[in-house]
Amino acid sequence: MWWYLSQNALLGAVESGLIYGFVGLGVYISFRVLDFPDLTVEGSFPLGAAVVVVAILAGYDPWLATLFAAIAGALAGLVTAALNQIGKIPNLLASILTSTALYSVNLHILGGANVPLMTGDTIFTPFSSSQISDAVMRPLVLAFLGIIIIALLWRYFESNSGLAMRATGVNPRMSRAQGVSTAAQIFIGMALSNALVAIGGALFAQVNRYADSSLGIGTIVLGLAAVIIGSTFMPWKRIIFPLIGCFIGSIVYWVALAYALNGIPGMTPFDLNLVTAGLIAFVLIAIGKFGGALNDRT
Amino acid sequence: MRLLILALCGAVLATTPAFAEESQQAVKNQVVAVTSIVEHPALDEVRDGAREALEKAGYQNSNHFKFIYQSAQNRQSTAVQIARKFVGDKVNVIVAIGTPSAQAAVNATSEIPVVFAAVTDPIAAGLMKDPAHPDKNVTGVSDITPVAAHVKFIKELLPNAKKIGYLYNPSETNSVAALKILKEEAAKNGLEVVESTAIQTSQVRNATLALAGKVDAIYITTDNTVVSALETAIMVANENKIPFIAADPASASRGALAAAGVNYHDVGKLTGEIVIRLLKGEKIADIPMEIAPTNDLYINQKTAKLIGYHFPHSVVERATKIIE
Amino acid sequence: MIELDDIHVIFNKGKPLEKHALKGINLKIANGSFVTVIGSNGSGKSTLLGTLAGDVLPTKGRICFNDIDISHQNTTRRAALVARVFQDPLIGSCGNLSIEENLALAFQRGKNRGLGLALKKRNRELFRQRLSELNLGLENRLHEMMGSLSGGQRQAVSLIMATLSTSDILLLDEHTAALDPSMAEFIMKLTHEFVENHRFTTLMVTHSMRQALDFGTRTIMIDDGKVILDVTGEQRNKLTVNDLIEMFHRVRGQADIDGEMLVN
Repeated sequence: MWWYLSQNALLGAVESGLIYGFVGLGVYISFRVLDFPDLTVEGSFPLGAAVVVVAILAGYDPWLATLFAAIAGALAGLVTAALNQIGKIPNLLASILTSTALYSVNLHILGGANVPLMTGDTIFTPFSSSQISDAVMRPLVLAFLGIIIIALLWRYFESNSGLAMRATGVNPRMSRAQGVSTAAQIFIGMALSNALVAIGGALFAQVNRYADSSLGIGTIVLGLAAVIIGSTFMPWKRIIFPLIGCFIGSIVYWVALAYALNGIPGMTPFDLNLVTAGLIAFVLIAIGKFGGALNDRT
Repeated sequence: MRLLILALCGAVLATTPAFAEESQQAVKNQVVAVTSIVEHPALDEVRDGAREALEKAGYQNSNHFKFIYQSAQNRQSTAVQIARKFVGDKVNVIVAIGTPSAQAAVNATSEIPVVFAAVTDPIAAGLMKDPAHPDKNVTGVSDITPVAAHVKFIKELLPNAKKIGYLYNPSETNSVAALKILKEEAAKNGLEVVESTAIQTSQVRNATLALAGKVDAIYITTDNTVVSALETAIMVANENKIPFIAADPASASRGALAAAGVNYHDVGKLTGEIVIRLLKGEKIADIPMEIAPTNDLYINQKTAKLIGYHFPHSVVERATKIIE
Repeated sequence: MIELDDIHVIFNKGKPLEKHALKGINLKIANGSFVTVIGSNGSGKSTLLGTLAGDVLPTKGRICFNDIDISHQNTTRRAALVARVFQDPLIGSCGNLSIEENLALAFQRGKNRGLGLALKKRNRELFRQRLSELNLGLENRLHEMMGSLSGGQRQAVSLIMATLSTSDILLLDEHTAALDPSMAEFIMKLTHEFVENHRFTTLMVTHSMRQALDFGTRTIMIDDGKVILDVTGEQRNKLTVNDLIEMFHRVRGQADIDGEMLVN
C-alpha cells in the first residue's frame, strides 16, 4: 500500500527530518547567507557524533557532551575558513580538504570505525516516561531544541553582527566599504555553520546510539535538500522564514523517502534514490505552479 | 495556497495509521524483512542464500508469506529509516546485513526479532552481550574471518614469504579488527605486515599499486570497499606477479590466486535457517549466535599460470574447488 | 587634510599585464574642500579614488590623513573615515537586503558591530526622517528590498547611507554617470546639499567637464597616472569647458580627446 505510512515510519521520518534540520541550518548559513559552498559538513556531522559518544562514554553529562560536539564542529569550520582566507585556497576546495582530514580525525577520536552507545545517558533520557513512548518523545524534544536554536539564530541575524554577516554574502565589496571585516565574518559563519551540523551529528548519535566514521556520507545532499525544499515552502523574505524552512524542508525530504521505501509498482530496491528524487521534484513543481517562484537569497 | 497543501498533507498523514491497521488485519501474513547497508557481491550472497533457504523450507512469496528487501544504498541515515519502516510495518523477523544496518535495527525495536548477518564483532558493535545466550531480541551469524588460519595458509603457499600486504578501508570495523589479529599472527609466524589503505573504491587501484615490489603476497579480508573493486586489485596484483589471497572464496572465481574462508552463500543459508526457526515459533533466547564455517578453499590455476606460480600438492588435494 | 605623497600604483608588477596606473601623485587636500576629478578612461582617476578608499594599496608613497599615515589600512579599516558612493548603484548597496537593513549597515560604519539589534525603533525613526528629506516617498517603503528600487532611487539612498555615519571623507565615483539626466541633476543637487551641510572633504570623479566646473572648489585633471591640471579659486571660476579642453590639449600635446568629455 504505497500511500500509507505506519506511525513508526512517520515518526521516524519526522525525527530524522528534525535531526537533519540542524544540518540544513548549517548549510543555509554557509551556502546561502555567506555564499560559501561548504563541504566540510561531510566531516563535521560524524565529528559531532564521534565527540558526543566518546564524551558520554567518558562520563560527561550529555548536554555538555553535545556542547563539546558543537565546539568541535566550530573548530572544523574555522579550519576551512583559515584555509580559504589565509591560505587563499578556493572555498569549495578548502572545505573538501578539511572534510578529508576529518575522516582521519574521526577515526582517532573513535579509536576505530564504529563505537556503540548502548549504555549511557543521552539528552533524551530525562524525558523518558511511561506516559509517552520514546518514539514520540524524541521528536518533541528535538522540535523544542529546534525552536530554541531558530529563535537564537533569528535574534543573531537581526543584530548588527548578524546583519554584517548577511551583507558579506550578498555584497562583499559594499560590506567592506561599510567597515565590515568580510574575512572575520567568514570565520564566524563557518564556525557557526559547522557547529550546527555537528550538533546534528551529536543528536543522530544519541538517537541511534552509535557513532561511525562513515556517517558523513551524503550529508551535504541532505542539508541542501532541506534548504532548497524549505525555501519553496517558505518564500517569505524575512530571515526567520528560511530558518524554519530548513526544518520543514528536511522533514518533507524524509517523509518522501519513507514513502519511497513503500515502493511504487515496478520499483526495485535499487531505485530508492531515484524515486525519492522524483517524489521531491513532484512536490516542488506542484508547489511552484501553485504558489510562485523560488525565494531569492536573503 | 502553500499552507492549504501543507494542511492537506498533514491530514492525510494523520489519518493513515488508521488505514494501516485495517489492512494488516485483512491478511495474516508472515513477513521477513531484509536490509543491507550496501549492495555488493558478498552481502548480496547472504541475502540470496537466506532467500533460498527459506524457499527450500516452503517459504515462498505468496498470500501468506513475503520476503522483502531494502538497501540503504550506503547511507547510514537511510538504514535508520528502513529499520523504522520495518518496525512500523510489524514484520515478523528483521534480517540486517552489515554492522550499521544491524545497529539501526536493534535500536529501532526491542520486540521484533533481529537476525544480523555479516557482522564480524557483534559485541563490539553493541548488538549482543553474550553470543551464546541472547538476552534481547537479537541473534545472528558472525563472519569472523579466520585470520590465524589464513596466515598459516599463506605460509603454506609461500614458505619463503617475509612480507604480507594488507588492503583495507580503515573506516570499516571488520577490516580493522582483522588487521589487529593479522599483525599478531604474522608476528608469531615470522612475517611482517605492510598496510595499504583505500577510503573509496576509486582508490583501490592505487592502494594495490603501492604494495607492488614491497610484498611477497597481498591479503584481503571482507572489506566492503576493496571487495567492491576486487577485479581492479587482482588485476594489479597479477600484473605485478604478486599472489593474491582473499577471505571470500568467491574472490578466487574473480581471479584471486587463492581464497579460503567464509562462504557468504553459506552465511545466508545459516541466517535463513535461524529465520525459519523463529517463524516456526522458537524463542530467540534459545538461538545462540552462529559463526560461519570457514572450510572452503578455492584455488585458481589460471591465475597461477599467469603469475608463474605452482601450488603445493597438499593444497591442490584439499581444495574445495579448482578454477582452471 | 589629506596628503598624497609621491603615490605610485603598479598592478601586476613583474608580470606581462603590468600596468603603472599612478605615476607619482602629489596632492594636498584641505579639510572641507570639494575637489572634482576628471580624466579620460584609463587615466587613473578611479585608481586614485581606490587608493584613497583602501581598495588599492600604493606600491610606493604615502597617504596621510590629518598627519596619520593610513597607507597600509585596507578598505575595512578605512571605512570609519571614508564614505563612498559607487558609479553602479548595484555595487554600492545590497539588493537582497531591505532598505532599512542597508541603512542600518551604513549607520554602523565605523562603530563596533555587536549583538545589539540592528533596527532599533530609534534608528528606524532616524532612517525614516532622513529618507523623507529625499521627497521620493521611500520613507514608507523601508521594508522593501533595495533591489526593487530604480537606479536613481538607489543612488539617492546610497547618498543617505554615506551621510548616516560621521565620516571625514566622501568619495564619489562618477555616481551620476549611470542615471538619466533629470535623475542625475536631482542627485547632484542632493550631493551639493549634503556636502555643504556635513562639511565632508569630498572628491568627486566625473566624466562631465561641465559637472567638474559647476560643482566644488577645485578641479584636478588626471592623465596617464599623473596630475596634469590643478585649478582652484579665481583662476577656476573663470574657466569654461572649452578652456579646459584647450588646457588639456596644451599639456598633452595631442589632438584626440575622449569624446564623452565633450558632452555636457
